[in-house]
Amino acid sequence: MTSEVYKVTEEELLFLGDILCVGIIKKGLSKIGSSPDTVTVVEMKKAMEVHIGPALISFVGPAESQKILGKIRSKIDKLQPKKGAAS
Amino acid sequence: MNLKEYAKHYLVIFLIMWFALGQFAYFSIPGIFEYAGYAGNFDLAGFIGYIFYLGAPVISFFILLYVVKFYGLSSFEGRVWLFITIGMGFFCIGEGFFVYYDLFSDEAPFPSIADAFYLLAYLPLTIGFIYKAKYAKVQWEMKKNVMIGGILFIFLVSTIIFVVIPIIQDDTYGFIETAVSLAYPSLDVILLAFALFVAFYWGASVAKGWYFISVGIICMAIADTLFAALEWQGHYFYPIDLLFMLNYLLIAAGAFYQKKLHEEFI
Repeated sequence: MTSEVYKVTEEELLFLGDILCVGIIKKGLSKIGSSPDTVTVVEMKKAMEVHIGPALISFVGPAESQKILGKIRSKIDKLQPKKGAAS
Repeated sequence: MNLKEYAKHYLVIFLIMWFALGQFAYFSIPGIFEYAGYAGNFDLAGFIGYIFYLGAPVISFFILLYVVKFYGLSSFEGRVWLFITIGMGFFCIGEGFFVYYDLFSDEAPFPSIADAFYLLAYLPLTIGFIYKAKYAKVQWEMKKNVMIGGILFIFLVSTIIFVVIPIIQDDTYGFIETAVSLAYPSLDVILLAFALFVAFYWGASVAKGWYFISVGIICMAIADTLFAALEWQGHYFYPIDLLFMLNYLLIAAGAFYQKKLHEEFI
């Protein structure tokens, strides 16, 4: 069962095509020692930095890549549990 | 994958060999046949040369199909390469008819069905570039735009002086022949604009494979212009065909480079 963070990221990158989208994210996650099932927001941001971002640049260039990554970051930030949430 | 590693790939070596053999076929085989005293009616030397010439767009077409299969039609990149593949397909058909007329008919008609397919090819090629531009948005830079504009201006002025004006002034040919003759250099200016845009913007910032595509299209624009200028005057110089051949092989090389590059990311 893939995590919400993974699903949100995958949704934004589907324009690359199913195989490429999944392949790029999974490789990015494996580079930082994570997986689609357990990836956290922090880990996904790291994966974006080391792998997903550079891959995206080769498709859409640096400017558009930054826009897409920015959109992903703001979406996955909303998934982060808030500090001091009621127990 | 950097360009040095890519150059060692077996497919790239094959494309280089194909082009080299094509040159050999064009320049050396006619002389060899003459030396050997071949006196047959059939233009065997031309036939051998055309195997390599026609082979270029056909090989390119199949490589492009392979690249489309890799990306898949659900992806924007796959659709970009699909349009370019369709354009290449039209070039294949056009070249097939051109070779047939050159080898088997006394005088090739102009315009012919070959021209219809050549001109049709521009449409999917242009759509492919526009579609890619929709996704690969780049930040405009005045310096780059000035350089692109300058090169286009020089090409446009040269085309007008050496191609358009002589064709318009010549009243030997009818309206359709004139229109088709003028269509090629006009469409080539548009394609050259894309090629320069691709080289200056995408090649530098998106992926280097687009440099191959860009150089290929520049070769085609130059070859088309030379063809229009020289053929009209009856001075067509066959080695110009090698520029067309180079165009097809470079587009294939660029597409395959993109595929290898993106393969490394998955």
